Amino acid sequence: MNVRIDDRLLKNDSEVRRVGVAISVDHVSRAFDINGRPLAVLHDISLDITAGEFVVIVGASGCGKSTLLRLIAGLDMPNAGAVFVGGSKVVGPGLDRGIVFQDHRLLPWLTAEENVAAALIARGVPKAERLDVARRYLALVGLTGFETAYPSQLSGGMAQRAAIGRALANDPDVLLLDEPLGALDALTRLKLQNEIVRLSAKNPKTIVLVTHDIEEAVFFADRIVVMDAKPGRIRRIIPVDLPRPRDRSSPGFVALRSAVLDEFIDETH
Amino acid sequence: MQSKGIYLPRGLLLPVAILLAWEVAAHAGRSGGVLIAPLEQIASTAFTLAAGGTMAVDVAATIARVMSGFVLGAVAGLLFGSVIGTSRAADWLASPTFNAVRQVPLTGWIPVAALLFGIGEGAKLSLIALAAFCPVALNTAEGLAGVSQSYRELGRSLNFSGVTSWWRILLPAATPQIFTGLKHGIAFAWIAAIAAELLLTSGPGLGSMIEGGTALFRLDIVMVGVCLIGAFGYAMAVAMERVEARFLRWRN
Repeated sequence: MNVRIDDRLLKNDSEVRRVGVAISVDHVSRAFDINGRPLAVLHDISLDITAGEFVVIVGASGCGKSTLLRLIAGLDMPNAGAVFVGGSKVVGPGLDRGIVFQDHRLLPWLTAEENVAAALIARGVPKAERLDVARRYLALVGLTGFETAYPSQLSGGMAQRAAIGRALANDPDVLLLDEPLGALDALTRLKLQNEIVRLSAKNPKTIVLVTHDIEEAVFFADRIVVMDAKPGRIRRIIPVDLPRPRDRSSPGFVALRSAVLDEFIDETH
Repeated sequence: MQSKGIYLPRGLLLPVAILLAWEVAAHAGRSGGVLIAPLEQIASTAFTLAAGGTMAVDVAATIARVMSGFVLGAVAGLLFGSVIGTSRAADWLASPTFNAVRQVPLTGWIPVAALLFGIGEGAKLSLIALAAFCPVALNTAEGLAGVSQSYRELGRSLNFSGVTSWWRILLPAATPQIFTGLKHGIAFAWIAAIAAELLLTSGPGLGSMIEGGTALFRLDIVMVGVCLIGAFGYAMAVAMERVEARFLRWRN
């Protein structure tokens, strides 16, 4: 079965994708038009992400890390190169990729469970079943009891939990997180970081997370991708071999955190 | 600032003062020959009109007119506003004309309606419908066009089709502004109904009732009509706010 699918891919795509590669960013460039002049945001980026891997992209603001995530999500298209997810070229958004934005983007006129259930509409799942699934995922992210609350009645952290539940509701292979904890207070952020680790251990997925928080990157990542700005390029890829669950105060953690920080300080020189 | 000696709610203070002044002026004016009807006469006229059944006929005629005109105009406004608020091509084609048309005050259309439809029901309905149409169309279009990019993007990330996205995201996101349009629409329809009845007098209606009172120099009849117009206008505004509150429960 798998062989046949691979054959078809080989015929249709000139590119041969390696087995076990969930996401392949292949010589991707992206420029935006700023007042009629092109501004290169990403320049010739290539990156392979293994299935089940947790990759964290860090970089100063303007390095194009969010743009890279949006290209993987299919919300934006590259000017050159291509992104492959699960062996297929990305031509637009798809339910194989769940996305969480920095703002929770819950629809204010829907309850928490209706918001999560909305993720299943495009698949034609009947409403009662959608709500069943939604309640399961709300329980998974710790929102039991808030199923019928409107977003305006949820705290920022709870709303972001619901948004994570919505991104997981289709059980996607890939989870894309665009600074998902950036707008939360420090304590809530810490809690949700532990929650994301718990979720990813329970339900392994290929995860790409964008952040500017270096401690968060060391806490989560199998590999940290450090990006340079103007134009956005991959500066270094740092593997993180620390045992899980990670202890933020362990010598290894602290050493790695300052090593990543050094990358940033170097950048300014 | 409130002294404990005053038992009247603050909001009633001014109306009571005005009514008292009116009453004093009416009785003083009587000797001077000015036609200010005293309150007791307005009240007894109201009672007579109500008992005789003509008041109910006039009120029912105006309400029925306003409702049918409003529904016609609001539905047309929702459809037209949806099209120009959704399609850039339609916006490009139709918005300049629409913006020109809605600059003409309603009273400017009354002679046009009279020439096209006479002074009967058709002219009145078309004026009321036009009055409701403009604010509903404008707010529907602006509401839909103004839906934030992040919500549209969410729809894309959930693989919504164009229709699903419109129904599940654009329309609900635009609903608060659509209700602003509907509230203005019902208020303008009410104004249009009274203006049309006053200027195209035919058949029963509150406007005709006032017009009749004016012809007879009966300020009491006119004032009964004015009070009814105010009361029912207020009731319709309140009813519309109730409907809005039901639809927009999520806002609180």
